[in-house]
Amino acid sequence: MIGVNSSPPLPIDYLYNFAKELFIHSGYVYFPLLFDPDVEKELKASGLCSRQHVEIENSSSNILLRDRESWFVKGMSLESFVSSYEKLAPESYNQHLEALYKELPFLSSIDDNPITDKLCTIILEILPYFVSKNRRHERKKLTRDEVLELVSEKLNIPPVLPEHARRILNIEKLRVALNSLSKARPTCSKLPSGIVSKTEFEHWFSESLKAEIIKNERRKIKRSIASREKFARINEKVLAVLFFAAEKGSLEIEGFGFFATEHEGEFIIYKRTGEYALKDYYGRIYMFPDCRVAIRTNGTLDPFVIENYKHPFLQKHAPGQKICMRNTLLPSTFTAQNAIFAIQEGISALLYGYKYRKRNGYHSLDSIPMPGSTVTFDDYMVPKDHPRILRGEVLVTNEFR
Amino acid sequence: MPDFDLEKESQKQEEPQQSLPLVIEILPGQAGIGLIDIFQPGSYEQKSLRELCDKVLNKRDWGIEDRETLESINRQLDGGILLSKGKTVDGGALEYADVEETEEGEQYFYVPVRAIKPQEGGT
Repeated sequence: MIGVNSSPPLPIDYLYNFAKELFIHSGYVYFPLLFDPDVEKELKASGLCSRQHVEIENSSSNILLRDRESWFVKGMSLESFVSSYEKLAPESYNQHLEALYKELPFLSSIDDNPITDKLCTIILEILPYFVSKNRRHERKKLTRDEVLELVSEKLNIPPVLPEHARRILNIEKLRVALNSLSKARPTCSKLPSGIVSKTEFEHWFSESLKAEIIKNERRKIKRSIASREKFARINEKVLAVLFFAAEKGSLEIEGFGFFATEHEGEFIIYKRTGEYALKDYYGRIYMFPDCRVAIRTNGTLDPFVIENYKHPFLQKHAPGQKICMRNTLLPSTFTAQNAIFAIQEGISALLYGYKYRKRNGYHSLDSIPMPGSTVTFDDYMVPKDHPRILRGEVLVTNEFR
Repeated sequence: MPDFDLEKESQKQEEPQQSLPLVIEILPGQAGIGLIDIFQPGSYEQKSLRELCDKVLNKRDWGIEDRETLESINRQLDGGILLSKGKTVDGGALEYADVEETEEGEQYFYVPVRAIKPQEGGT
């Protein structure tokens, strides 16, 4: 049994070191009420002190209880203590989880499905928006198969799903695990009302936590089954592409790309601006290098520049800077539409936002830097008749402003 | 030594004088695919690119997918502008055109136009 012999120490030790004795009532832990002369005075005035065992009847939440001469104050719900334990004491929770994995080894061999909803949104919905077909006369939005063919070519993916992918995507194995886990569900006793000993409390907590962990694992397996079921009817070639893209964690096609971040299942999605040129107040031209305007799939969808970059709308010359945008309410939920909107807004700011007459932004192209700033753009200045501008390879994108 | 790039440039300038069909593609924002319309020789020469774009945008017989693209274009044009090669579209269509070829070797003028809503940015 977890928590009796081999289990790690519980934060309950700290509870008992602090409280010495705990009182249980109606699913709540009551802690000894520390002596306070004002509270003592109020209790005496209320006449409650003369009663042997008392609950404050006129308080619906039963804040104070008395057992013999000791007063107890309501502390925490037992149920939420157990259900929040993963967040309250993650290390201790993981130690208990490991103990359960030893008891039920099939649990540790269940892999997460690498083909997440976010990855599918990026590859099947966002990528087709930014990527064009080579054959102009056939222009239509890329179909799902065409997108996958493109990705497949790019990543050099064999059309057959590898054995380890089959194993990871196998639903049957998960169903068996779910059944076995149902049988392993422990029966939890209820803590009796009144003062409980540390051993009694510890025993109850270990059983309850085990039940909670099993509940969480069942939920995880059910989610995994659901996410795999979505792919059950997709043909193997498609699955192979999605699986390889997921395993590789990064991809770039025609300047649109993504890569996995340090947060599991999250990505940075970007679109390259390509080289472009901006005009200053005096009509001089500044050629800007290509950069990747990106958003993160978690958190707010603020566009930023991945590269070490400078621009009138970036505060410094540094990597990972957010693009300064005005009058734009950026979405905070990741959907294909929101991601496309945010990336486009970022590119639009860099390419078309700078008004050479107004010199808007943190910096202007033509003036000396503000005190404390070292950002200048003189090194980007090129002659108006620069061959790449004359040939139309690099466009002056703020000419119209 | 002759400047081959400039030579090519002058050829490119001359090319739009031929009589070829004109393909206009209006793309919303940074999209890779836009609305495409084809104008036969004789139907576009006297018109500005803006007039031709208006014609494209006012067409009502688009399919479902194209209608989605049209909506995206209109969202950009709500406070935005049409740009081709970094310029507004008030000139003649051929000023913005490149000559392209189908797989069968048929030539046509191609003009990409972007519907852009300039982000004001900055402080």
